[in-house]
Amino acid sequence: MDEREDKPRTTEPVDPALTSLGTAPREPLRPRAGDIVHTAPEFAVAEADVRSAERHEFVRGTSLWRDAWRRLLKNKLAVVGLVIVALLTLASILGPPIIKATTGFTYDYIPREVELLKPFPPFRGVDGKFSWVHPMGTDNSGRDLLARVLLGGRISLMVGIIATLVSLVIGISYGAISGYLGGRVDMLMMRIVDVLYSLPYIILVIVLLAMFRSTTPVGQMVLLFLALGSVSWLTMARIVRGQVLSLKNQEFVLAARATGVGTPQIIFRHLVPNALGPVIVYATLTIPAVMLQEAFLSFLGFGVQPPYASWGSLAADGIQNLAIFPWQLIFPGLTMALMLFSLNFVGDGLRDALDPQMRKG
Amino acid sequence: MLRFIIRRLLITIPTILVVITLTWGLIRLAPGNFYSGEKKLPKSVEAAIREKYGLNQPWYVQYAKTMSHILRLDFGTSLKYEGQSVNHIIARSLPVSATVGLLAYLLALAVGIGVGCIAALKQNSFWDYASMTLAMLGISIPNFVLGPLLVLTFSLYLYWVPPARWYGFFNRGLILPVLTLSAVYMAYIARLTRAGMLEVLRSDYIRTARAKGLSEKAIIMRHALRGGLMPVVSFTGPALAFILTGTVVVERIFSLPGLGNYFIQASLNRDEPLILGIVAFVAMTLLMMNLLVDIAYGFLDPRIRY
Repeated sequence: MDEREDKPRTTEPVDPALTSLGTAPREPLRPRAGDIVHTAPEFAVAEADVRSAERHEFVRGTSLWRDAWRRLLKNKLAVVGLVIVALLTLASILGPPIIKATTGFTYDYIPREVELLKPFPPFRGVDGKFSWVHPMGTDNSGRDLLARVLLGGRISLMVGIIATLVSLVIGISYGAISGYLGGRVDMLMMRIVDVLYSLPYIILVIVLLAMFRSTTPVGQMVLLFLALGSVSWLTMARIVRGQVLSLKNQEFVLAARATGVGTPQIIFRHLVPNALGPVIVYATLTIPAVMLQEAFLSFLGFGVQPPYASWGSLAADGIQNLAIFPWQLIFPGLTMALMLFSLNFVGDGLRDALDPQMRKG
Repeated sequence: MLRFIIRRLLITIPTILVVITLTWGLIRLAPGNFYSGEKKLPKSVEAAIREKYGLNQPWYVQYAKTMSHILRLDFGTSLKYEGQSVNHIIARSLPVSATVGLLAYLLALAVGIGVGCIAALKQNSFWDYASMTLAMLGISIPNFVLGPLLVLTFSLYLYWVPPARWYGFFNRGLILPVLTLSAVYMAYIARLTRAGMLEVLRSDYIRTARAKGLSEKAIIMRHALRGGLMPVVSFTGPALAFILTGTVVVERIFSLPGLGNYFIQASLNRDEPLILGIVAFVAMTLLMMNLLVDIAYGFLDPRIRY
């Protein structure tokens, strides 16, 4: 481009695609088949490039996803993990209404009869004989533990997904803007991330949750979503920035800019969709991480408050009576471990499937 | 190198200020304070308290005072534990947390590196799959589930070790807390070692060493381990943060009088000087350790030039 700048403009352009970006060629270029010809003819080729680039990306995009899906299905551990995650999710969503319909128990149902106000071991009825009523036993107030564990699953999953979505929104916007704008803005934005990165943020989250302790359980849960989401976007921002940095000098971005596409559209319509692979992988690994943090905070008593329950708060309740009613810890604890175990395998499998170069071993 | 250290220090100091300011802001912005309990205090008592702790001054004066005290490492007196200085509480509880954390980290290093090496050297064998599945299990089981399960088995059924409480340094009572705390790092370190070793074992300089006719043992011990363990070294920083959150839970489960337990109590009691003191102390330690790790990393890996 630079070499051509000093040549007289009267010469015929050697490569129309190159000259059309900066300078207007003397005569309008021949439209290609399938192009939408604009009233400003000098942009026609650039527009066509964008379209063909997009078309190309799109075609490659679908086959990339299909490839990834095929590779994921070959990974036995990931498939098993996926099935377990699906089953546990289904159980958490459909379980409570089914239990209510069959045995009449809900997560906060405390029986009126005095002889029922005590912990029952799993599969034991009032008379001490085998019974299907409480497959996981009951807690200290005689509440059905299965219903509570399933509610815990709902809340843990909800926290995991919502906080991950919050971190996705913040992380993608921040990283993409920082990477695309570059220069001083990028440096400043990344310094901020560096500083935030080295904060012992879990401590700050504890202080936040303890100080702004909400009077309602729902309020405390919203606080939890916000707190966890707002601290887990940092790595996401770095990943997206890296992707955008490597993408932003490619021709389709140049072409988009040349056709007059605004900066926000370039970032969110052209760059972000192309950076989605690593983002999805990291998001799947964020869900179990956030769920673990939620459980940790609830275990310490800062998270989900009664009458609601999460796997963390159920484990905290269970520890109180570990010696005499161990099932109160074992069932919620092992359910949670199974869920995290499977989610981690799915995340690992997805990483291997989407990015074969990143595969270790 | 010197420039790198100076640049890192220039980031570290504002970070510490940000941590303290954020904590102070959170405590002050939240409605209520240490004295707003269930029972309303008489007006005169409240006025006296406000006077004593300088709560009548404008916020920036209070902020500046708090900051200048903290930066001189004078954390003041606890509100809840009357008459005890925060520095004293930290000095008393830090050894407990540090012992558990350090032992857990050493155990994790020993087991994790060993298992990771075996998995890498026998890649795709039964041992590889078994140890990596176990490692994933270690990452997935929350420590507040693992701890009680260990207590259940080894204390309540087998009567081998005491279930909880602090019996002093290097006591049998430390076995379960250390095991509980180290499980996660063990798993992480094993995975990192395996990945690092696999990458190094394929590299050219290992092929050169093989071609020289070095014994397999010398290749692994002298050449591969050094490069293969770099990810483990860089994990030290995050591991410190993990230890921090891990000890909070472990101290809670096993009722150990460590820093984490005091921090949780202080947060629940709104004991402002104690919260600020512990947060400031932990942030400073963490950031300094991270800096040291980065510097050590530069010395260990000759490819890195700052």
